Amino acid sequence: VPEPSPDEARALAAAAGIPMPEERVASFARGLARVRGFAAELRSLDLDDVPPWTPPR
Amino acid sequence: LDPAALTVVDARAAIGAGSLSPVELLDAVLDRIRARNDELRAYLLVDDEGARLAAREAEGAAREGDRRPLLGIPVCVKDVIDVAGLPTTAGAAGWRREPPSDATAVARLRADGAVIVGKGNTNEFAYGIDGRNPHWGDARNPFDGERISGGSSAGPAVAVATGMALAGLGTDTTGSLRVPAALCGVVGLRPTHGAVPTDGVVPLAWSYDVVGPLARTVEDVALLWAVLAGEDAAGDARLPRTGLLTALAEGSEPAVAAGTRTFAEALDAEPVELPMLGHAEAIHTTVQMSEASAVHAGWFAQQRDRYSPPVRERLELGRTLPAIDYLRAQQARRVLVDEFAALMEDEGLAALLAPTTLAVAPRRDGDQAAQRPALLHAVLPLSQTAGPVLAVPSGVDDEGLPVGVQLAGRPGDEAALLGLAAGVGRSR
Repeated sequence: VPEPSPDEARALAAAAGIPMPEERVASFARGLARVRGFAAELRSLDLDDVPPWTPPR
Repeated sequence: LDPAALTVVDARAAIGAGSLSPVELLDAVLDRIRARNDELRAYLLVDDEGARLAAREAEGAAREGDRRPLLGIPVCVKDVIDVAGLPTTAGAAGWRREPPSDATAVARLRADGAVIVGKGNTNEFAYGIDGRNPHWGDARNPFDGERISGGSSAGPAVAVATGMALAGLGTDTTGSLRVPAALCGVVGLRPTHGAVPTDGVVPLAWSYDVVGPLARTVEDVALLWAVLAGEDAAGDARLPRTGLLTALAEGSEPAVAAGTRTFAEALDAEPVELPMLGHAEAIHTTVQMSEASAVHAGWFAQQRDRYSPPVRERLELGRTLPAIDYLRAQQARRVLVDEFAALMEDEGLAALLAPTTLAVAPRRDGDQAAQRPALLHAVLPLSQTAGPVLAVPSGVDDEGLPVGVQLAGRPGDEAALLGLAAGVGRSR
């Protein structure tokens, strides 16, 4: 998953209500690429009709 | 012999026999704290007065023949767990609460006679695996102060390893009992999810959070487990089949590999595969980040600038995750849990064996991000099963630094794991 551009990272942070000083944008963008990679990995699995795990009662 | 060097089992026996008083035991523990806590930062707060009061009460009870299993045993409680009358700070810079009552886990220990010595150091809000704390000082490894202790249940592990307590109470979301246990050479039990109530515990991620014990021996942890769970933890004496998760051992340092091999031979373990473990990091990171961000939503709004940069960034990233990604991760976890249950059933396995960390304790001045994979590689996947995982020492490297292995079992199988580990201990 490609790293988002600084502008995209700023926009995503703003949408989530996160102030993003310039010195933190690059690290935040790397983090976004990582979590997006995980999301893509999970999307590749066949999870149709699988209920989410919930703690046993 | 210094009473602080005793195991829980031996100290309790000595108290019962009248050859050791709980006050004498506490004094020995407090001496160790005075000697080493400034250097090792195991405790964030020591409750001298409260502990002395509890020890005097235990002394009186012992004279009257009180048979409670933890009577007079000094315990260090991780500072994300409430102890009535002491502040809970979660190792954070700007967060604190004054609990009016004990967390259930603490109440159970106290009801069976334990003496709470104080609050143990932790990664900020338990959101870390190395025992570093930029706000109150890093917990340091008892075997080499220039190395990390592992975390986040860092303080209780260091305290137990050094006689600043005989037992510890911590939490484990990703590996926070097991990693410090391995790096400090003690035993830690991640119990079955939900087996011990987590009320009075600062949450990190509800789907993974558990409360569990630390001690120097498997027998001590079995005793603590019996108290925490309210069940017999005597263990099963037979040695049932064990599977070796070779995928989790890949990349182990030689000492770690040797320790794993020792346990595999003692348990006659055969290699097994659990393919869904390959997706464990994606599942875990997505669920944990989402839940931690929800837990912290209110606090984050008030004090975002007081979090350390790594924790702050994880919380911020969690806020960007869509609900559908969170649910997909929980769907994938369901597949993993079912795969684990089927493997255990089909192969007739009582436990799965893996190393705890892939390396000995890294240096404190090293690159934190680069150190994380070796610490997390084998513990994170086994947090997915919702069953118990026992971390036990498996040896030391050439410099005397400890390494360990994990035994993972089906939900509710703590006693079987404790029995297996005790059996290996007797055979070594």
